[in-house]
Amino acid sequence: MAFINFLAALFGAGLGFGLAFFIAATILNKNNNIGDSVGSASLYTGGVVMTDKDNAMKLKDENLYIISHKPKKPDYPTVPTGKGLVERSRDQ
Amino acid sequence: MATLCKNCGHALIYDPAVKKMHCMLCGGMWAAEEVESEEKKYRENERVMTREEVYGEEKEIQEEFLECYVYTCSECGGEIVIHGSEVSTKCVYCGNPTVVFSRVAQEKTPHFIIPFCVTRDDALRLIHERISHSLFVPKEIKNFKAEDVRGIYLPYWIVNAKYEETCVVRSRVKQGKYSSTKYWGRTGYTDIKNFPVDGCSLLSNESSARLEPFNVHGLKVFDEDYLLGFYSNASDIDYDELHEVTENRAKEIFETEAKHDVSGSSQQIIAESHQTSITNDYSYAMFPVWFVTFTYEGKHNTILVNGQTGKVVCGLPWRKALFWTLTVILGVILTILAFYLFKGFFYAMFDVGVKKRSSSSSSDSRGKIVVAIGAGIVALISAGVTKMKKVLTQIRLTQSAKTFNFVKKRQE
Repeated sequence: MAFINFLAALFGAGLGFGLAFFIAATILNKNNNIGDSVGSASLYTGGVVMTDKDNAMKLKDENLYIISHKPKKPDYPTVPTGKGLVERSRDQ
Repeated sequence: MATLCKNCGHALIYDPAVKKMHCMLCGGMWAAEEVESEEKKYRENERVMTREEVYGEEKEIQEEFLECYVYTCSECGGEIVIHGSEVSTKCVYCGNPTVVFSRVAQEKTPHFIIPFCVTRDDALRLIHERISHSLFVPKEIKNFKAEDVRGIYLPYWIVNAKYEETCVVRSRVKQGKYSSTKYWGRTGYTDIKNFPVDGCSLLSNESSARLEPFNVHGLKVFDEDYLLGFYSNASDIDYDELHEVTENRAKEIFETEAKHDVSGSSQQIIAESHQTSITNDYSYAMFPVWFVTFTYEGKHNTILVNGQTGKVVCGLPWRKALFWTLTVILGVILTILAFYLFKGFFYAMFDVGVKKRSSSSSSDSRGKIVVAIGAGIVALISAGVTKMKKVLTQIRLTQSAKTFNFVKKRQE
């Protein structure tokens, strides 16, 4: 009996204060964190195309899969990397 | 350079309310494309001088002037001090809007610009509307008086890229009574189109990402006249940062899809290899943002408003006493309710008052239920803490001294 009362009090306090904190934090986030969103993926991409799927992988094959499917460097001109300041594209 | 009114010779400014160049003296209005200054060509080569070139080397330099450049106002001849990468400002002596032409001339000219659509008054109204009914926003902030309201054109790079990734996803899959760990290989790509990357190193990437979306259909061919009456900066980021910002967003898009593409729960990427290729057809543009600053409890706060869509971005200080009082009162009420709920539940679960021999399997399942309830409570508290952390991060960004100085260090 006492054990059940203790367990109910412990879980009751946990759920009660946990839920109260969650509700208050949700209201706070909604009111004080204004403009909490970035441009959606659909604005910048037509979607993700999967070119290979392995649905029965073993953990030991992880490295082999990554090495054998590693993306290759493109054969068309791309923007350089480095610490140089970005400049207007000369192609335009 | 200031563009002057064809009728009265007064300096023109771009007016977002009418979307035209406006003479505040005679009321004349022209579309930006119609206004052509004869001086533009001549001024394209006018150089901005460093502080040392103008005043010579001095041993004792105030820190705030370390990165200053001096430009001469074309209207009154006064010296205009500009910082870092500023492109347009106002003359401190005659008040005329001024464009530092050499910074947007020839190879540095942005391809496009989104002119301001939201006026200064609209920006303030939108902020007040957004915060007026917020429970935890202090009254002083609800009725804040803006110290500075500055319309600034920020430099953006609009990039197209191909992001390729191969990854291994781990997930927990339920099979009957038990669940097991499964591994999935996923390889693919996503083409990124017209992704805007903030070219201003002084503004945090997080804040500029939250200003999105900008509607690229509103892009116009760049004309310096749109800058008149507003402040603006030239790009000062490097290629590595351009790659980093593009890659981070593309990676997020790809991995979200890769996780959705496998069954089970608790999906996690455990290994990956990727490649981001930004194509050479990127363009340079200027996007409009209002920066509104105010002081609360001795701390400077800067609210951002997207100058095209009117989206307000900030993290505001909160009424801590009210927050914790509400949490405690609500906590006590919910605790009492939950206590009786759990008491009844546990009495039923442990069959108290019923003389019955309990088997080992039923005590095992009771233990699982208790653990599941405990885990649920921990998850609930964690979710609350995550939300709280998000708010605190945004407050820190709104109170960032870097952003405040970015706005403040400009000529009135």
